[in-house]
Amino acid sequence: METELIKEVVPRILEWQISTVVKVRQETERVKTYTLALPKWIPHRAGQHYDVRLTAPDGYQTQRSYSIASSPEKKGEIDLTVERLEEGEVSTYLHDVLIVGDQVELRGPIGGYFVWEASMGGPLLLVAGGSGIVPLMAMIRHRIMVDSKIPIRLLYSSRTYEDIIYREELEQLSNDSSGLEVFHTLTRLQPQSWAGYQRRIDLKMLEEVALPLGNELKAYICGPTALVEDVANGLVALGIPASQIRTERFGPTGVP
Amino acid sequence: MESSQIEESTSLMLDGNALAGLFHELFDVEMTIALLECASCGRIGELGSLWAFAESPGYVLRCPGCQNIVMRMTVTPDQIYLDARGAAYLRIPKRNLT
Amino acid sequence: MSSAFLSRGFLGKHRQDGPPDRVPPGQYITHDFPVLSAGPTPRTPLERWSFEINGLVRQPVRWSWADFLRLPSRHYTVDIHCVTKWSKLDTQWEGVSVDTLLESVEVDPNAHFVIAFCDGGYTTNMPLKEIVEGNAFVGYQYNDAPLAPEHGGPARLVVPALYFWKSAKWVRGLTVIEKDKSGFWESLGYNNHGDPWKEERYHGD
Repeated sequence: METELIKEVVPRILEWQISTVVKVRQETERVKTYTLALPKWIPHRAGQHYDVRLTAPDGYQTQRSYSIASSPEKKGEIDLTVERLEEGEVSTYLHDVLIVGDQVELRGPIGGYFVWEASMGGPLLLVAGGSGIVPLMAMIRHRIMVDSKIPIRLLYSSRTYEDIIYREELEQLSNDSSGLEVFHTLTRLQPQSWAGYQRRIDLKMLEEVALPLGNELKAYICGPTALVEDVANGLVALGIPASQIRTERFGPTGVP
Repeated sequence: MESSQIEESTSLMLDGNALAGLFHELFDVEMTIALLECASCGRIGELGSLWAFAESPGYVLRCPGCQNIVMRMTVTPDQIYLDARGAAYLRIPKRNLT
Repeated sequence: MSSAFLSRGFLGKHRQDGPPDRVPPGQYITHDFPVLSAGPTPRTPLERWSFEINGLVRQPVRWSWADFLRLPSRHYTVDIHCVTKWSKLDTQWEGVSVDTLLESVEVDPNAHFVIAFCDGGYTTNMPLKEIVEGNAFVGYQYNDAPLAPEHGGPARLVVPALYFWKSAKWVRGLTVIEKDKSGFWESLGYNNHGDPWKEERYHGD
């Protein structure tokens, strides 16, 4: 499958376009994925995001950035996975009002720092906190679509088992001996026969998950600022050069 | 600094990725991969790796090494202001456009 | 900036319009207290904190935290207006009037402006006359509790008659100057004066 990836330094006017909701999928109780058909779709790079802008009848506008969950190999459409935040102006609109057939104004794809494509090599250490899994999922899905054998280890922190986004898909992908290994940690509540980690990510956990990948690993960390800081500092303490670590902070509430 | 103190002090903090759209509007190219040298401490890193404070009358990008301001930006109804004095330079690779 | 596209069913967060004699044009009322910041929250320990008035004064003066708390203070109820459009009415503070502080210095008669300086490097400027005669105070309690660090604690300047970016958080002093000099946001497109009743938000307004 041929995909021409846009070279990031070619000038490109970032324009707003109107997308149409073609599918809505409930991932967890508070998380939904919207599949949007874009009239001016261009292939993105895994890790990039789109800015979504809402306009009220009186002209009031607000916008938020949402990471693309789908791989660039999926043409014409993108998936945005959004967590509903009680205080969130945009996420509550998306969750409570938006339905299939509605239109959403957005622009993108945006971002060049927190991106990964198979040609960049690996092995990869992906660390996610909560909805920070979204851009990392695009990387995982991209890797499958281009048939890459680059080893990936995902360390994914969630509050409870029910909060794990893409849980079944991750289970399936890591069972197929495709070179993807998934390590979960549940920080608040664990089911009866839980065999995974059950605490906040700490140095020991990082050591166990990351070090087997070797010192050449490339790390992508995404989630709440506090988690990102701790994990980045932890990896540096374990001897991973800072230049091999990329971060995307979502702020305190999990949305950038 | 203790972990919980970092959490309080910097919980509003994002990184340069949060300003990616705004920079793209300004420069028409992807800017988060631009390398900057901090004029205060000499750290060289991508714009995307800078600390970003976006909840204020304007945007402020700080060096993760020394915390000094690298760039400031404001957006008024018809202007974008950029102060990049905190950056000794900004560099972005040339690529063949053909 | 406005587009013809409307998001079906989107009304925006509940923005309450307030009485026009209390709420300046373009503002809406909020019941929370949004935190806006240009950097990590400074954490100066009280034993190292000081407030200073310097610049064009005969003799600069400096108070330690203990000295500061000994100054006559009073309760203030003021409305505050942020340039990002929220207004908060009847906020409750305890603080020291700037007039009280200026009693300890002799200001050069040629000096008509001040720059407030703060932990973290923030600055903001205003005419001296805007902060005298009861028009400004240095507040260290909010809602009967010590002012929280994310809101500017231990102490912040409060100038209710101007947009709230002038109410400098983590204030550490005032420098009295002869000619006006733009502060942090004033030098990057924000209005030099900042009167919310004249909607002086940006340069050129």
